[in-house]
Amino acid sequence: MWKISTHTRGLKRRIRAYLRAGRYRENIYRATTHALAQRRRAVAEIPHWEALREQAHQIKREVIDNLEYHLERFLHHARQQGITAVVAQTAAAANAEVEAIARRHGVQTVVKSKSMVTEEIGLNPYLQQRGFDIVETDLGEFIIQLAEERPVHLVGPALHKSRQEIGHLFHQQLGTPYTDDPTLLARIARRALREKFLAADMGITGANFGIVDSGRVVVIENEGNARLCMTLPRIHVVIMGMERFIPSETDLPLFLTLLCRSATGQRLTAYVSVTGGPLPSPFPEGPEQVYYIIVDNGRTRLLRDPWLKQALYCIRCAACYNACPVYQTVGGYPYGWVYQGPIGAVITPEFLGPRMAGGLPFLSTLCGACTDVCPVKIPLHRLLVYQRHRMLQRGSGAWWEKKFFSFFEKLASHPHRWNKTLQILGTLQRHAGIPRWLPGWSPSRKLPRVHPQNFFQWWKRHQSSEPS
Amino acid sequence: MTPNLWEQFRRHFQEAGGQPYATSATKAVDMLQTIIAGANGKQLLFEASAISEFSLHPEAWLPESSFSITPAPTPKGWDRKRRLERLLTVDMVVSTADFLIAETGSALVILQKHPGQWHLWLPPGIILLAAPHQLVDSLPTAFHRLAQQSSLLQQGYVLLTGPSKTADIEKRLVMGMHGPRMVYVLLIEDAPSPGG
Repeated sequence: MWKISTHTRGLKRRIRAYLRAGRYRENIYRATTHALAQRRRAVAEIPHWEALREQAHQIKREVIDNLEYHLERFLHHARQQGITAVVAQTAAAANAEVEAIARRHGVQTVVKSKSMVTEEIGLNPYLQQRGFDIVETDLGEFIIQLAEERPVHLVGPALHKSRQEIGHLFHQQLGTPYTDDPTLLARIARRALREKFLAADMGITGANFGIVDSGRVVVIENEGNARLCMTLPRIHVVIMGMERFIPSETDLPLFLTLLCRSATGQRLTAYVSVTGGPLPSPFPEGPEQVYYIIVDNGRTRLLRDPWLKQALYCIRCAACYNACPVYQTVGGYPYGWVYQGPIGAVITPEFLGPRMAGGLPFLSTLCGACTDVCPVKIPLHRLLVYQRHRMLQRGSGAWWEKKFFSFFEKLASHPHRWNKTLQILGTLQRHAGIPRWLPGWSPSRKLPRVHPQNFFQWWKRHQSSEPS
Repeated sequence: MTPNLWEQFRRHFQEAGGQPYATSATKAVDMLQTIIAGANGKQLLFEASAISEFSLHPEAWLPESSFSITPAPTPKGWDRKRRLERLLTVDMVVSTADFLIAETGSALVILQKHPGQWHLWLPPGIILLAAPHQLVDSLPTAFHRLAQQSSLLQQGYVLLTGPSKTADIEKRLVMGMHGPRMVYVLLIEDAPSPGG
């Protein structure tokens, strides 16, 4: 099993390790650039895309600013449909709730569709340790579960794996003849998982959106596994983050347009399910009981910060992952936890604390590509700067970095000292070749040359040579 | 029917991997037979609403052993296990769509109008019949019209855009991951609209 660590002290070591993982990096780069190209094509079809982004931003802002009100209304409407809906304050409470439901209904086998919040709360190991058979049914997640790894991407959990690796994995774990044909591999998974669907007593799904005025949830997918998780087992459990609300079903076209085009570059994914309570008795093709577990697990902490609460607008499309040059280069694993890319670098320190994840906001070039692609206009690069500041205030960062930047600040804020330093550095570099090497910089980049003339000198000369 | 709307739907549905056809009511059965033969459909399941709305009479053109019709639900309900066993042997389902959305190439199905729902996910092929009045230009229009049928939304609804698919292995597109790998929409161009 791959060791997953979020500790800031291991961050650089992890990055170096993944920079050396050639095939992993190739697969990540190919997948992210492909997704970006698909997104560009899909977005170009919508001339008023920017207006849609702005509209979605305003809706999410209203929802997050009044989250308690929307949560109460959602719970009320869900309960009216016969759904048992609860709020879990912590990951432990959410897991315990799922276990209690499973025990109450005598559940043995659980089928599950892709859900980041269940990764966040560690549901799979929790249930496995207690003797339940829990099976991931999204193909990417199934591959990851067999390989005992963690998802590397929100939308494509196994996009770092080659078809040959998957072929060997299926051969070893499922006992099927080796093949690297994606169609045959998908067919093998379909057959193995169909049996699990038919045997399962409980289906667990996430929710892309919770609709406040109807109490229904929306699940978006391409494979159809979520739909089977919802309808084949007797019990359906929806686990969702408490920020996933949209006010009304009439807002859904807007959010479907933004999410599908941003995530996979599709006009709409193959299946969009808008679903609610248990079916009345003459219709047996659905669950007998439906439960909603709405997870806080630190979200109210984000809500209290006037800047960071904007991260709760996120609709989990992963466009910021694909656009981020850091993610494109090192993929998701160095981030060390469930949420990766720019949005992960913003929110993970709030979930895990500065000691464990204080280094993540520094995994960015601050180029702003993430902000440009975000369908709900979260100012991600600004939030990254804000988080860097907070992490440093809360004790993250090396002592020598702090000393260095404090010294640099003293130099750079005083023109005379700054010019003098540059002059000395320039002379040393030209005549003695010093410094030749800087740790953390030189192995992958050339040192910039200090120009013999600084800007002020150039300006003076330029002005004096200009015709009057 | 607005030909542009159908043309837009056709193009988008096809790009999503679906197979759209349009025909007249008199040729509907011929077209169905062609689709079924092309997909090698041996065992068929007809939803009762598809038969009544589009006057299909499968007993007139299919051997009795090759098709069944979804029974009307009784107060006692269906036998869940038997229904599941039956669906696992079906190759193709003939059902109906409630809206066709041109902007995205999607078919919208209101579940309460279609007793049972496993037939939409379990068999490898599905044919959705539709009439021209069900074609709408965009998602907002579809949701606006959906809101007018709020009493039918208790069981929810689904939007189907082409077949079940995955690109989880090296971004290579594979159809039919968990749901149907063949999804057809058959528009009956001269089907009457409600009340006229």
